[in-house]
Amino acid sequence: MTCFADTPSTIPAAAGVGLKGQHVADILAAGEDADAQPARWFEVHAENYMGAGGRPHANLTAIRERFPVSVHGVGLSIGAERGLDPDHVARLAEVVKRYEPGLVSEHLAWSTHDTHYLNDLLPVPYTQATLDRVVSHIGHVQDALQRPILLENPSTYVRFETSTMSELDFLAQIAERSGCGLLLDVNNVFVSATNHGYSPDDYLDAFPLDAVGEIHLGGHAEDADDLGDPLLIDSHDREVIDPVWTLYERVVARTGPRPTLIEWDNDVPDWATLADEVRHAATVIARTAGEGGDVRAA
Amino acid sequence: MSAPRDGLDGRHGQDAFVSALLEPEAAVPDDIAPLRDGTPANKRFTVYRNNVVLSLTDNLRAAFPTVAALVGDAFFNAMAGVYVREHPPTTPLMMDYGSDFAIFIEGFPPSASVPYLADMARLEDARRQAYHAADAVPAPQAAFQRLQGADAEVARLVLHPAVRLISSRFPVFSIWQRHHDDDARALPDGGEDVLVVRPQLDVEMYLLGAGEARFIAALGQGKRLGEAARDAGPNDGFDLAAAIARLIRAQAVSAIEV
Repeated sequence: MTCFADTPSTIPAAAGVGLKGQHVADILAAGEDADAQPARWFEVHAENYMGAGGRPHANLTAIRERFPVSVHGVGLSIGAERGLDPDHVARLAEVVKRYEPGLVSEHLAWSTHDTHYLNDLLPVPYTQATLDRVVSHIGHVQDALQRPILLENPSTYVRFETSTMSELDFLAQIAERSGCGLLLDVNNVFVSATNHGYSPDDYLDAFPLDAVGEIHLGGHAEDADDLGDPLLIDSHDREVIDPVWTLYERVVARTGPRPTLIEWDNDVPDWATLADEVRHAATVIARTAGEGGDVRAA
Repeated sequence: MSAPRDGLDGRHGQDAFVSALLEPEAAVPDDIAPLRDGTPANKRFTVYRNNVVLSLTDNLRAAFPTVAALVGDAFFNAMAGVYVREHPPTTPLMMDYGSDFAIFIEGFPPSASVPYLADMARLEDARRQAYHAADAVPAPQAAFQRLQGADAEVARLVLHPAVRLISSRFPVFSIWQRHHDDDARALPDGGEDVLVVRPQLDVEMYLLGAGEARFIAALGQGKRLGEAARDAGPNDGFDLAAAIARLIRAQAVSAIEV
């Protein structure tokens, strides 16, 4: 079985950022200047590089020549009842072959149904049937890519009455049975914990951190449900909030430095603003390493 | 608690979830946990509904910026909302989503007052296709000297993979320019033919003369130069030398096979 824990990665246990086309010129112009360009690696959404040619590929090729890159899929629909789309798995394999990413990740979610693609990360009930299906799908993907993937914990807005196990149990069993690693999105933990009324600290205390190959940090929007209870939305359109930074600091205090990504996908700011967020993550990582944290994830 | 048979017992599973997602007035599926007072989690479920419609609408707006500018945001959002629900994407490749948006617009009664809107969508889809098309090195100008020999009649001009042609009975090129260049010149009467190219990374457009679109389309079908020129010939004013000069300038040809 493909196993994440036994697979070395070229992604450093350092801060990276989601690559946006409008920042490529700034990134390349900064060269080796770590003040102007603090990101040590870049992540791309796989689906944006499934076209034949043109500027997206020119940009990513230029970045890949200088930095490690990770590939984050958003369209594989690993939780779909209808099964994986073999054409899309093949397209993902092509992107992976072309760019040789240090990490490949996807979501615990579904987004396809029959012939429809819904362009959102939709939730799954935590049942034995879902678990079996997700493990089987991850196995297919890992076989096709000839490498392990990371699976990301979701932001959710609803719960299912049909769930029979906790999200933590579900994720831990997926990792154990499929051999995949986990991508821990700390903002998603905060969003889901707030939306469903549990403690994000308790959740993270019980999270199988040994399986975590990458951490995501992003911003969320605040709303309220019909009863006025808080309803946070994983919008990736602003800075990471302080309570999420605090959760992140607690995680890396336990794990030591891990590859950490700033995600900002909507209302994308200028490079200087994004670089500040990257610098914040880098500072937390450096402090942890300075305190003798575990650096094996490098 | 036993798991229901997906989609068979009441409104459960992903069938029910998708149906409720795409219908704004539909009830929340039966397997979604209610709120703490037992009432349905309407606003919570609506987050997913909004994510689907708004993210796809934003994708369309990014792909069809001139269409959006021509009708304004409120109209565009309403039109895109109907399109998204009736024609959700069929693949996760957002770069392809909306390839039939022009056909939808033609059949969308409220847009009838902007008769050139569908052709503008065709032009913008062509620009997007060109942007993502395969890379190829345009044939250098020197390669065209081979067309001066006796074999010119039977030469094949292989079009660059990004080449697209749009023929409209409206002046879509001029309307596009007016929106992007603040060009206040009066719009011409009649239709326009547009050549869309992407020699390196930037998409460019050329307004074509009489018969040129037919000529380039014939080349695209693999016809030899002489035959392609005859296809264009019946149009008054087709000028073969000018048409070839434009293909050179636009870097629209990737190979010449004599």
